[in-house]
Amino acid sequence: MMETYKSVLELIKNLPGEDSFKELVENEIQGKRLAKLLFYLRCKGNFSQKELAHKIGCSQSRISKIEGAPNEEITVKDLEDYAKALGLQVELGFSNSSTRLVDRIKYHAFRIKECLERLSVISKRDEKIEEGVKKFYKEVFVNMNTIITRSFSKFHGQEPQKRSLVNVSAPVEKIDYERVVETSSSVTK
Amino acid sequence: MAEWQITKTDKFIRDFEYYQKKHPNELVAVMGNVDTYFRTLKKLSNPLQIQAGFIHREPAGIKAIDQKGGKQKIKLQQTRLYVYPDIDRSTLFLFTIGNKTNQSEDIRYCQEMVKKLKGGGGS
Repeated sequence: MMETYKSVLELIKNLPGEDSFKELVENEIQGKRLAKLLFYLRCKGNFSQKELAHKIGCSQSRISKIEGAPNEEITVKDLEDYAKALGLQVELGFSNSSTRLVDRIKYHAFRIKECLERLSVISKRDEKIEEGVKKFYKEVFVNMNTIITRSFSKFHGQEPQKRSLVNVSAPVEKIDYERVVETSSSVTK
Repeated sequence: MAEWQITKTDKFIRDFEYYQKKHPNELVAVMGNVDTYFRTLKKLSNPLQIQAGFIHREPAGIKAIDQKGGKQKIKLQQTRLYVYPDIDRSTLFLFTIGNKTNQSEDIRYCQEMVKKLKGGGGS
């Protein structure tokens, strides 16, 4: 039976060779995270490089160049062009470099609280909406519990990942949310 | 749907060691591209949806990932990493690394590997 890995980096760590070489590969991968995100977004939208270039109004070679470029060479204009062509919006954010993961979790928890409160204010205008929002509150409760329970079950002393200067996150999508709901409903059944 | 995983053959390990010594820049570029391919495959699950200049379609569902991409300071030799995205097993197999010269021989080897995989022999 062949050994399997969850990422190319994990695979490389388990291959024979010099650590200095493995570091070069890691730098290549981490240094192009923005380009990898743009590549994924284009493929997800079912666009070839040529089609996207046509939509943006540039050459295919520019798309190819962007998708192979290191983080420092990708401009805000590139991000805007991709977003516009793919029907997305760019969200940029800064965080204090000393921010710990627990602080991030607390931050997001407060943001969720804020959004839920806003939702309850809006729902008071209409009975039907209020009913829907109440149902949604229950879903949030189940989903949050599922997320925490799943994360808790993953404790097995793995090494923490190296933190990079640029954190690239995929846009929040309805499909991700639906997946969580699907899993949580199967858990609660 | 099961999460996609990546695995390698013994031949790939030998090729990896050779390229690390003889063509390290090409190997870094190819591994960077296979990382891009695999990350996207994990999220989309459909190999046909993933298209780029560095991905070449070969027979039997095999893909050749080359060294192209970005602005490279030095001219890199043509290098191809042959992979096979096995949808049934949700596994990306890394078969072998080669150059333009032994391309047809490499593809034949990969086709044999795919045949074995489809026949049920997974190791």
